[in-house]
Amino acid sequence: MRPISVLVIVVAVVIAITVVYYVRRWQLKEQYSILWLGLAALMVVTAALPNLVEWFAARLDVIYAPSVLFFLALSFVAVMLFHYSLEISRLSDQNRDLAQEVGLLRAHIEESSAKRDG
Amino acid sequence: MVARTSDVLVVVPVHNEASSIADVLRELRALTPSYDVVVVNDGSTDTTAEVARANGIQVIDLCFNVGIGGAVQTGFKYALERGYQIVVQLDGDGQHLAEEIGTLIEPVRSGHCEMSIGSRFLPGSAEYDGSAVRRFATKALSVFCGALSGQQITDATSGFRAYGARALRYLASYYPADYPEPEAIVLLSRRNLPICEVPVRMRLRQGGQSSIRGARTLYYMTKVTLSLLLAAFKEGPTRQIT
Repeated sequence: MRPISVLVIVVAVVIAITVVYYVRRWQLKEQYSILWLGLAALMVVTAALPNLVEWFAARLDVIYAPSVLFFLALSFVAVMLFHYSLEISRLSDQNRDLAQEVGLLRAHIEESSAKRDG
Repeated sequence: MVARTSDVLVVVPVHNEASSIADVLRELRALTPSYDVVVVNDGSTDTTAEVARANGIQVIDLCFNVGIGGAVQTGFKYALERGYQIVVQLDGDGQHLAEEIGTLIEPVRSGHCEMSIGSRFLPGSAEYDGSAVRRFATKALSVFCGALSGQQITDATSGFRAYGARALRYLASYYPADYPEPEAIVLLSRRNLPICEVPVRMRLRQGGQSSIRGARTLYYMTKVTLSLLLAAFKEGPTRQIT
């Protein structure tokens, strides 16, 4: 096995361990852990079976086989980023709704206590 | 819950308007005493909320700044909870005149439209002396808004508006976050909720500064144009708002 393959596998294992570590500490949602574990698995597969990448590149008529890896990696990053944009939009909507709800409730409470005292 | 004393609620969204809010509220009290008023304090860092409370006005405090859209929408939700039939949106910076509220409400009250916009650019509106760039920007946006909503719009960015019950029910759930005024026109027209404009006079700002100035105008124009185009395609509620 080529040194680069060993390196990729080591990095993949580190990613997997990190993910499991944070899930155990309740700091990473399982939903995201699946994505990252999937990435780690994919890295191991491509490192262990370099012929797979060559075969895939040939299918796609790609001359320089590793560029297939770059393409896949960039696609992965793009999908992740878009997913985060969606998530941020959802969270900011919820955040706004919460601020409104808290404001309305506070107004409510102020009114009722003013009525009670008055 | 405090009982409504009117079926009209005036919503005053404010963000750091301590210098103008007292006058605005005094004018409302003097000129439209029969309407209920609520101030939505959008995370002000000055004494705006205290001044409003000292004037005996109900204040809704948002715990951080959510932007003008979110602030106005809070007013819609408040109105909906309490069964108001008409909501008037009037800025806290003193631009909008309380004495014009009657004119603004009239077409909503008569069922002629669901959103009535106080326009600075109709025949009968008083002279408006904003900068040339601003005038042009407002005009261009209005034409664009008009094209998307299939009717003539002269003042798409005016935040002096009255809303009927159906528009309220829709906007309480769907209201754009920033620069909502032009987008609301397109959204409502897509839901077949009629819109009209009435000529009003406005004052120059008493305090504060427009959030849109200088190089931001270009950014604002681009962003609004894009969101208007997208608004035309946005999904609405699956059932008709009645």
